Amino acid sequence: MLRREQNELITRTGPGTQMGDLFRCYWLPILLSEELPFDGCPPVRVKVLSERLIAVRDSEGRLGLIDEFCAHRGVSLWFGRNEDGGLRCPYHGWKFGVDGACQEIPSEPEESGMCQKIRLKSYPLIERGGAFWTYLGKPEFQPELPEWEFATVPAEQSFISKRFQDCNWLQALEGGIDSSHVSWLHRGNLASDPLFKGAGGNKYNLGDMKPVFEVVENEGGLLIGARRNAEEGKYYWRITPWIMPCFTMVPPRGDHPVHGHFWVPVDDENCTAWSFDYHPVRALRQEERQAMIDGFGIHVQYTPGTYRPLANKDNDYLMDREAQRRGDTYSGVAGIAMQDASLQESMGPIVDRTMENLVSTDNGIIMARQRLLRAAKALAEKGIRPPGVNVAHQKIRSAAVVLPPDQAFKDAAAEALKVRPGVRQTSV
Amino acid sequence: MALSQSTRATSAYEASFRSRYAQSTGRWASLMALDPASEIVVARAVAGLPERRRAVALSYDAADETWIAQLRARAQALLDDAACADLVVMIATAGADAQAGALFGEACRVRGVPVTALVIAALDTPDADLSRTLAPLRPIASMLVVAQGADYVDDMLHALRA
Repeated sequence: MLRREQNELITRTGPGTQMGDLFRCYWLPILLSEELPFDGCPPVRVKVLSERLIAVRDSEGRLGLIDEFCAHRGVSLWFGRNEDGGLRCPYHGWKFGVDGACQEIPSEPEESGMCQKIRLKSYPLIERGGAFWTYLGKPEFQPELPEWEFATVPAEQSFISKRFQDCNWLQALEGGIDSSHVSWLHRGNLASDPLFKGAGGNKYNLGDMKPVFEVVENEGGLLIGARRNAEEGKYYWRITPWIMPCFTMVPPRGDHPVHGHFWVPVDDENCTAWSFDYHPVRALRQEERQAMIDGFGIHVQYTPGTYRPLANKDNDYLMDREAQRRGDTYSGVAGIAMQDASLQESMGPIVDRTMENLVSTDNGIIMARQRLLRAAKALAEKGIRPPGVNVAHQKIRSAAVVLPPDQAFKDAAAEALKVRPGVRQTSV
Repeated sequence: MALSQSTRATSAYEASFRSRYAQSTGRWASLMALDPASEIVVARAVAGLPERRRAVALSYDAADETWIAQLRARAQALLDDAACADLVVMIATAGADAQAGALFGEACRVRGVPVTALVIAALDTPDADLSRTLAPLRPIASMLVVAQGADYVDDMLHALRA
């Protein structure tokens, strides 16, 4: 459980909040590459960390993220015309560059200087790994560009998707940290999902329903090791890294692509779940990529024309009680991503953590919260940059290994947890 | 179109109707230091909420070769001390010899009292030191935590309602 004031602090990420300041230390993914597909394409509305913005790729290919609303009388620039190196408001023709600078106020004489006095708030926007990323913090503290492995391998080796989730970011993140739910909620999918089935490690997941956890703090966040019994007294370890503030990776299964998430706040009651799959050493097979497009693994099927899942709260997540009864799915909801999202949304927009009854297997969650609160406080009171900003912290992998009982996963799998170019993931 | 059950139920407005009646009682935790440095951590944690936490003194001298025999002799009393707890939390500094904890933890397991072991290790703690402490605790702990600071103890206990 958290105290009420702690829950407020950790879940609120708007401008001027402590957790918002923390999030503003990082590059965050906000749009897929397909959303700004060509120079001069239509602008896209973005809400991130409770700020309404508009992403622009101008006619010269320059990228920018600016205040959504025209400085004149507050019209949404989503209606704007993307023309000749700027975005023009259709109401009275004011024109803005991707840096937010006002380029033209047609009604005013040029010599008035009015135009030079107007500038919309703007943030950098870069493209990397199939997504556009922004940094909403102070320019003088802008970190190096993100170096997550999935975003740096050749494009044919990776796949990325996003979906909107109707709850606070922390509820979604905590699902990514808590691997103890996999043996329950997702058990039906281990044998049937084309991106999971067939891995040697699956039998350990299904054979030992009482995993034991070890949680270790590391430089960028946490390593969460879930231990299950294997043959000859050995242990099967699934190791999940969490890098602050909102990056998690799922331990791999066999030679299937490796996957993970970012959980990015849209506002305090909504987030975007980013889901990526990649293989460190080979191109994704056509059938793997198709399965991802079709919503298998950690991806979803969309409501056409949107990034909203096809199964969503408005249709009760297409609940199938017969499939639940048969055991095809444990909760009655199809698909790993929506099994998670449906339960996390059912908690309400911001779950009341004063009501929780955590148990020892929740220690990963407890420690992640503590680290977030500690880092937000250190940033607010002493200006200390938080873990995870350093790109060295981003060069991490998840792993699945079988180890003798006397070996600490942190040491025995140390190499497996590092990004090693040209070396495949460590998996069972 | 009528709203689905889920759409209605997941609104902030509906969340405000969640039952506020207490659905659990507080938990008792027995805290056990496995080395002298951790005794201070335990004492501080107990002082923070004495009505829910209490220290169980292992007080052994590893230099004395008879300590295992002594511990066995005191096992019943120690177990009685811990038996009323909902949770036993063992605290050790990385590098400490945790064999006594392992012995006691085995007895806790037989009694059905869950054990959480928390090892405090600085980021630059040698791997060998950490492994030496973790290895004997691994078989008996339902949760092993390696934290960088002692302040995690109080946060963890509070989160567990202990």
